[in-house]
Amino acid sequence: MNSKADYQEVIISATCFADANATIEIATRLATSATGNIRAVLVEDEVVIQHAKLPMVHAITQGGRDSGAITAETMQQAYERDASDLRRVLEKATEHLSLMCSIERQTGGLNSTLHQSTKKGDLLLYGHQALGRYGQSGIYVITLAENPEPELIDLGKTISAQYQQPLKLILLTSNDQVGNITPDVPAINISINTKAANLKTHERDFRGLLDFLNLKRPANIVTSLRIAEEVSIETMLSASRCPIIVPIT
Amino acid sequence: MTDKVPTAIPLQPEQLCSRFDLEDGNLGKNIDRSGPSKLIGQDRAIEAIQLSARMSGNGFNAFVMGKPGHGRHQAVFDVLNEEAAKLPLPGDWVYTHNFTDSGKPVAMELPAGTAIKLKSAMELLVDDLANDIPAIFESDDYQNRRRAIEQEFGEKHEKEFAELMNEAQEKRLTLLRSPMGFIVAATIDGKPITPEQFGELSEQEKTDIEKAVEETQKKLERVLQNVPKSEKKRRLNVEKLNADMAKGGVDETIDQLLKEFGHIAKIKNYLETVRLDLIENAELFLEASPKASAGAFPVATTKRYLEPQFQRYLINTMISNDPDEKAGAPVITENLPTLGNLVGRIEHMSEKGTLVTNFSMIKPGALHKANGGYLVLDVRQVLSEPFAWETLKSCLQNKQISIISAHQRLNYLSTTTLEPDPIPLNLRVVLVGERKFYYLLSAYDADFASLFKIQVDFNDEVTTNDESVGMYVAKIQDIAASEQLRSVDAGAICRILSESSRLADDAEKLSLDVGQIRDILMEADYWAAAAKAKHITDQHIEKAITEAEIRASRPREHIQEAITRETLLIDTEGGVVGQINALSVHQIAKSRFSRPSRVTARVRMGKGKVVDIEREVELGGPLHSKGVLILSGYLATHFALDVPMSLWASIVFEQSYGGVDGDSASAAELICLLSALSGCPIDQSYSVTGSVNQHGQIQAIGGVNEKIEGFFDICVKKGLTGSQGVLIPIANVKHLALRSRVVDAVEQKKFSIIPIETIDQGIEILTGVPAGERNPSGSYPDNSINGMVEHRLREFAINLESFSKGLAKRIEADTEKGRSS
Repeated sequence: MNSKADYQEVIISATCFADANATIEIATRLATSATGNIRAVLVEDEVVIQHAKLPMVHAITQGGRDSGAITAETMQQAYERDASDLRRVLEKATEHLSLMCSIERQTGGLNSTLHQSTKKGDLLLYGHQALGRYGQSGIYVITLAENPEPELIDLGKTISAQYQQPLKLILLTSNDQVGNITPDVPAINISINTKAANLKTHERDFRGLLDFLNLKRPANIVTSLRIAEEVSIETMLSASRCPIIVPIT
Repeated sequence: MTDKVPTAIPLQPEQLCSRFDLEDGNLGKNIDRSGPSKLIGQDRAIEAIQLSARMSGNGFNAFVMGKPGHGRHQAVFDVLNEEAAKLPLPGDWVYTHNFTDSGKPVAMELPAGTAIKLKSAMELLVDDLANDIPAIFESDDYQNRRRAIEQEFGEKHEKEFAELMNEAQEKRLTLLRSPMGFIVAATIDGKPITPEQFGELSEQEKTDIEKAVEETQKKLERVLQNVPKSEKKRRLNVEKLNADMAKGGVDETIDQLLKEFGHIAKIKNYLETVRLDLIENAELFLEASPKASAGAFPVATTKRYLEPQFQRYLINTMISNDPDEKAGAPVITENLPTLGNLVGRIEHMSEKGTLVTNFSMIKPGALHKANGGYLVLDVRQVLSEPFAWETLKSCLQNKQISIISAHQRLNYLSTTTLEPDPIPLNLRVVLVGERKFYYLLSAYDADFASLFKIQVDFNDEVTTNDESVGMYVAKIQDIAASEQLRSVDAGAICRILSESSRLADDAEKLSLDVGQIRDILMEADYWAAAAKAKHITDQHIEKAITEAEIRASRPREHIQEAITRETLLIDTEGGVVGQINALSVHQIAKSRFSRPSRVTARVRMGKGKVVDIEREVELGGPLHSKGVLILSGYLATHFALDVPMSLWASIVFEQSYGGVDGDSASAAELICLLSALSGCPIDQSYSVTGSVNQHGQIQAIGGVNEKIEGFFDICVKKGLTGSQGVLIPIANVKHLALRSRVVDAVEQKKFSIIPIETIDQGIEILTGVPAGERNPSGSYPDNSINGMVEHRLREFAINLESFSKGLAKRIEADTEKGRSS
């Protein structure tokens, strides 16, 4: 684990209470070892609110129940409820740990949190509720082969030890190269060759990574700001369906 | 003592007190000294206890009655211990956890000596499993198999969800997360469609999107609904794996126990139940593995069985009879027979503000401990403890011990409690108590007679003869030895025997109040020590007795002082008509003393009524009233039989403010009345005690020694004249055991004790006038007491008759006068 000075603040970002709640425990652990500050950002997704205006849209609960047609108003009320629940639960979780906590609400999307709510030195945790509690395959550290970040692996090791989950390292390689960055954690190489159609913009293809995560059921993902930006955090969350931890550098 | 005592003649000093004359060489002669001295004069009681102890029928429990200090408890224990030694050692009793209903602990009878072994074995089993089971579950084998199960199920619904995501993408749909759950959204160029974009679509396109969204929503519902089902299946598989893994460890340890205890069917069944429960609840051993070493000792040696979650596998030993340590049946006594101490109790402990309990908190009572043997209880204590008597009877009637607390009976305790299996009861209860309890229970408790069929009645005294004296001597020596006192010489023993006869209130008997004899001996030993004597002598015994009397003499001295200062008016010389000294006895604890009371009688013409003033003011008890009515009958049937009884008389105990009962003053009251009627003064030098019947015979009374001594002490205070004395019933001569101060005074002719048989004898002594007998013509001599009484009564009758006639004439004259006017 990095020293306390390494993280200015631990930030939880999620679009609903259920997702944020899935991250509170790990956030408090990391905050206890770091600065002692936790900030939760509940993002009111504009896309969701817009979409709620469509007639055929229903919400399906985590338990598989159709809660019927929704409206922008009911969705707004749900955001209010979630904010209240998140405040209550976070305060309860931190009250005996000498942690400072705060909660704020933001409009936009999860991607916007990367820049709007963070500063260099923060640790950003995107929440996501898992499907079921068992059978998770490990803590996945995702880094670029071209620019490996050993501190990501250190953070992954810490979380892996705390949750007794195996540590897995995904090395994103370009041009079909094969790499390894640390002898004690064998790397899974996934190619992110640049798409032919997008050579001009050097847009890289993360389809392989997303397909991989879609099937692997990770417990947590630790990745870099750069990858989070390139892949889009919303896409990554949708594929992995687990919390994603991003140190802001 | 059995010779005919002449009446109306003063007794000789040797008649006033039993004297024993034993030489040292004769002490203990013909006495079996091989063991402790036998109980004196209680053969009937001992045989009754033996009968109760030996009989096997229902309800032959014993009630031992008698006075305290007569050795009842010791005798009961001696007999019961002897009988218990002939009986087999009872089995052990344990309570175990009930694995199907924890509120009803299971009772189990085991062969003697097995309970402790089983208890230790179960503790060891828990310790072993507490080490073995975590090791099994930490093994790579278990971890791999468990991970495989979890991955299988985790991947299954992950795969379903991944497929759903792929299908959605193919239909140009995406899933959005919202506070209300998943939202299936259509996309355009990879981004969720906006309401504006949707509105611009053709109807067909809209329909297609709506259809795709609906289909995906349905599929999403199914996928999400499968998650809990899958979770449940996973949990069952993990539990099965846990059970399989635990079974290996559990089977090994249980099989070891079966080798040791398998031949006992009850234990075998119990261990099979434990085996199943251990396998089913193996996680108990995983939840609390030791976190730290126990100080200097390695963790493996810590007592894991003490941890609360393992208590269900332990043994609560209620009764343990190890044949290596005990033999025969138990003989138990319970000095505080509360309900809990009798039938056992269920303790509770506070846990997070709530009272909780379990089978290990069941504690045995005296009935458990005595089961298979004998239980000795003090009846007064049993009756004074709430619910104890009713519960004891219930246990004996039902032949089982059911543990029900007072709180449960009263519904006071609204918390978790237990209903343990009742334990079969097979014992003999011996109640020890005073006679009044036996009589009260017989009269008012319908169950008593059927539950306590054996009556054991201890004698209060024994007739004096060579055998009893010999046993008494042995007892005295035995007490001296057991209490480590100085040796008791012949004089001291004789003095104790005399005192014993006084305690028995009978010169021909010895008291069996061994407790009081022990007290005297111990105090005498103290005085012997103070005097630096080597032996206890008669002087030390005398000192002990005297000192005890002095310690209790404050009330007596207070009264004596009141008499000498003439606050209480008592004459001890001179003659007074219609006034006599009677005697009454006061008892405070074991101390008794007497005081003289002045009784006076006044007479006049009336309608044949003797007024008992004590009764009129409700200070007289029924026995006293009976005595007065008897003397009225004597008067009415002895004098002036040919005329109506025309007497009005009043009798009173002067200066008596605390009530009078008993008829021991009726002779004095009658003599007093005869004096009042005859006009002959009574010699106040005497005091009289004795009851009288309608024939004028004097009958025995109680407390004769104290009464004589009480009057003697007053005479001494007021000055002995040599003519003072006490008239006692002749029937009481055999009860005399007077203190030496009285005997010495009689010997010196300073005081006399005169036995009388009739009222006539008494009145002659007290007035110096012959009582008189009816002559052939049917009348008493004129100068006799009876003659004067009869004359007076006849005079009353004549006067009354003439008064009545005069009154009639006056009334007639007045009537005439009234008519003429």
